[in-house]
Amino acid sequence: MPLQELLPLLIPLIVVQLTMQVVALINLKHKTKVRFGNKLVWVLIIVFGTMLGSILYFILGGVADEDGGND
Amino acid sequence: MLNVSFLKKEIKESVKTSRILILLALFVFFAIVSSLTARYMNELLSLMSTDIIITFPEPTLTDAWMQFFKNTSSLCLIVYLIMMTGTVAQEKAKGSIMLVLTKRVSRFNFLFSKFVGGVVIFSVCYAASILVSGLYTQILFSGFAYDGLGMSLLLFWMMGVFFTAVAVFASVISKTPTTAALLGFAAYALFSILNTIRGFSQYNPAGASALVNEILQGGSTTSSQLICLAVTAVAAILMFSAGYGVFKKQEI
Repeated sequence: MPLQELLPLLIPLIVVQLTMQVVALINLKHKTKVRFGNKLVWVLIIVFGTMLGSILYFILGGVADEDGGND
Repeated sequence: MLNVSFLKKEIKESVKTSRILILLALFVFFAIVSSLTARYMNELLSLMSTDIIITFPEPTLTDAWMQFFKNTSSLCLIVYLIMMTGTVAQEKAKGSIMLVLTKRVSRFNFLFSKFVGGVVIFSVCYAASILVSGLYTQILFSGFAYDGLGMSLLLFWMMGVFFTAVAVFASVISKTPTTAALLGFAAYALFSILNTIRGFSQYNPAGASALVNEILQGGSTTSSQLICLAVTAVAAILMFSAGYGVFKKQEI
């Protein structure tokens, strides 16, 4: 598969993924506490877990402030 | 019936908490991935198996849509469902629900606005993913439409509406967002298992995911599609009504 042909199609994918990672990292920065581990663990998950890492953060880690972390 | 100002507040809240952005990014991401994997999967598999020569059938645009529906009905819908299940439970846990209900917002208005807000968010994300998937399919396969595409998309949207009602119901009966998310996921798993029963998908509110595959393979009848559409719509109304029934009598 020629990379030149594929590159314009891959750029939006990369942009979407990076946007998610940046939004997740900004969201994490503003949290006072997170669920399942600490902030550093979540930074590593978001950075190295790419799209799935960011999704995991929003589903599992990023809600502690909102529900009081009482469950 | 619908409190427009409360609905606007709900949508603004989704923008503020980045919920709509997260879902939009997720739906668009998998719309792109679906078309790309359908088009280049054979070449990727050939690259991986250098010793054996395997001949794969040439991918078509139906493969791209099949992949799209598979991804949207699994990961995208699960994430949407989990995010939506927090809608009432989160306000109960934070205590902010009291502030809203003591104002001029009735319990029905509150719950219905939450439901409509969810449907709006789902519809926006779904519409964006259809556009992106259609565009990529057109570029990669020189065409994007197949017989029954409109019905497949409609069935899928209705399934999204049904799961919004499921999320609202789970959120009402749970005390915490985590319990609501677990309940929502359990409901998703249960309805997905029902799809494995042969011939039952048309009577299953989540039957769209099985039915669209039949449409793509040309093995589905118009009557079964219409039955599924009606069953899903009725199930969504019943699920919302059940949620309201509980919420009306609930001590907050």
